[in-house]
Amino acid sequence: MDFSMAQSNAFCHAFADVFRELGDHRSWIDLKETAGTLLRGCKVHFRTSVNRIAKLSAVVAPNHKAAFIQLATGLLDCTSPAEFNEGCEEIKRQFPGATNWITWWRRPNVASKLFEGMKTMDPQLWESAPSTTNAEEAMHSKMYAHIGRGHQLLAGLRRLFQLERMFSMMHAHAASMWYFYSLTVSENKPKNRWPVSGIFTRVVEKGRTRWSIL
Amino acid sequence: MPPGLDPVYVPYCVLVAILIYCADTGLVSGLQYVPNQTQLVPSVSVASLLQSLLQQPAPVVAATAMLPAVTGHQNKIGTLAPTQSEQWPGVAPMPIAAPASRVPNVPIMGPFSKAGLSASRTPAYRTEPWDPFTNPYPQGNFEQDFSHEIVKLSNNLLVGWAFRNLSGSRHGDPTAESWQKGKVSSRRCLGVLKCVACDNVQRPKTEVAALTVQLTNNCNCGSRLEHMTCDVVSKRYTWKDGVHYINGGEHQHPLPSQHRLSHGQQSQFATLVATNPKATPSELAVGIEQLNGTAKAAGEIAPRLFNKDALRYERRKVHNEHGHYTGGDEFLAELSALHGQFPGYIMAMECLPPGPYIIVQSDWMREKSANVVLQKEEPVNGFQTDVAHKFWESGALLLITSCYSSMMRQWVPVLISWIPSGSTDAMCPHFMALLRGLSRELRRRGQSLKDEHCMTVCEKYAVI
Repeated sequence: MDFSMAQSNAFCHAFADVFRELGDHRSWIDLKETAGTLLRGCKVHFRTSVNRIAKLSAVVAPNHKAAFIQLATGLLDCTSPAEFNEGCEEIKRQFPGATNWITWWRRPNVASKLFEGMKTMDPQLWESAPSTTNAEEAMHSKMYAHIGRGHQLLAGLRRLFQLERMFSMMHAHAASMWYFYSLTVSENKPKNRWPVSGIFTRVVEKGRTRWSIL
Repeated sequence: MPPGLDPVYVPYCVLVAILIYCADTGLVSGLQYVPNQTQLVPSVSVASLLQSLLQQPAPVVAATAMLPAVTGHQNKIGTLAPTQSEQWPGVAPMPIAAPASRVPNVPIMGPFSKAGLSASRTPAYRTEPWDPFTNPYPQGNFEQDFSHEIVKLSNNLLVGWAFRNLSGSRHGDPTAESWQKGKVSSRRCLGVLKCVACDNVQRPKTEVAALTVQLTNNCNCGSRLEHMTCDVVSKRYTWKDGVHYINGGEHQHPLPSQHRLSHGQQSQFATLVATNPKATPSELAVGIEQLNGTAKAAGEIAPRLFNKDALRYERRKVHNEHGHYTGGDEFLAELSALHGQFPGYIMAMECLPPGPYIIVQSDWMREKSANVVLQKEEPVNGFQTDVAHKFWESGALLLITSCYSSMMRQWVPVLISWIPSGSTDAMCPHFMALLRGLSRELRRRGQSLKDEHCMTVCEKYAVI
């Protein structure tokens, strides 16, 4: 079973379909390839996979566990394709049992999304995107903490709506505090500040001062 | 202006002066004192105050019109079940507990209103009207009027006495203009069955054959049961504006056990079940433990709930009311009700291929999804998508896409989907909805969707 490939395939299909709908001139195949360059894989999931393989004593001898982990995670830091391929060959040579595993990760459509040496994404975009899905995992745990788990369909939907409501209210609150935050932090403060006391505000128009209610 | 007075306070002073003037002239009574209410209720807003100042002769009716609404609400909240002593006949019941929203504009006539009395009958002296919501054992010779709404809510003026209907009259019209010409139905009290030795009281069965069988049986102590009959005949006249109820007299026998829950008991038990939806009947019978270590058994609400079968039945009834459905019709009805409750949240839903899927996105979420076009300095750009495996009981997946909000300084969900499995086909509609919503939002802002806006970080792992 392989969720992640399904996820990236689904994204590529959807990307191509939607851009065709919007009247993009590129062909469907081109669009799908473009979509592939916009995806980035999660480093933490790769590390988890490395650790899982490292625990298989038939593949990695227990005394070589640390060496395997170091070699495998070192692939993430490779800066050029040559360096990456060299690292892969090294793993294959030292740990023949992990050949299938490393072959899967070396496949271009997988490696290009995860390893910096093999990336096809625009370097600037690569830098600007987070390297893990940690935020999303945190979102799940936040969601479980706030609205629970193991829901039936309608009850779960209702809870999701309530969660959305909480987020939107928090956003509204943050937006309302944003003004006061800007007063204290921002360099260019607004000229007319609300007086702290009362609901009346001083308005200066054409050199005259008048008071108005909010 | 006196020297030293800040101009800020001038409008306050004017407002205070207006208030004092109004209070002096008796134009409005600023605050209403409502009995049983701990706070003073402001009866007029500033707007209506100014309006009344402009139209001086007009009295402010809004102030008094608020009163019944508040007291009605008060009674609705106070749904404590009456204790046995409160239920005892002869003790004055609580005042009418009719929530204001339920009361139509029908005058409810008490026993002393002239319209409610017939000339031939002199009711016994009663200080309080009968409240069918809290007192299931009306006692005494009295008459009272109820609106149709209250009759319906009080489960057709449910009483605890065991009654048998008497043959009705062909005359009378339920749409008559006065209650005297209304449709009459009368019923006679059956009294109770009492053990001659141990004073145990049983509720008589209403059918003649069943009652005969019941009388041939002995009490649990082995002694004979005696039928204490009662000749109280209560009548109800159904007419255009409600029901005129005539109680008929004093019951000279002990109270029979209650066969059905009264309105107050029903609501109390419903609250108990609704707040503990997963409690089994056995747990309810023992009582759900509170934080302070106390537990209230269901039987304490109503003696009927000591019976496990009755408890199970009543619990099931509450669950059914809250939509624990068994078939498919209820599902569709509830789904459309949900859609009415949160309009526009369910963005797309498909039961037939390429589904099934349910995609949820509110306007706010769509707005936030356009945050991706803003380039942030930290590596928090783009979308993040992941699958939550444990959200649904059925094992279906919850696919969430999030996006960073600089204002809230956290990631917020922008699109959520229910999908049955993690296949490409199942996930594709989610991403299509995401990109379509994004392009729609960007078009609204006068921008167009570009490739780099769609950058996504997703999980990627292989299982070998």
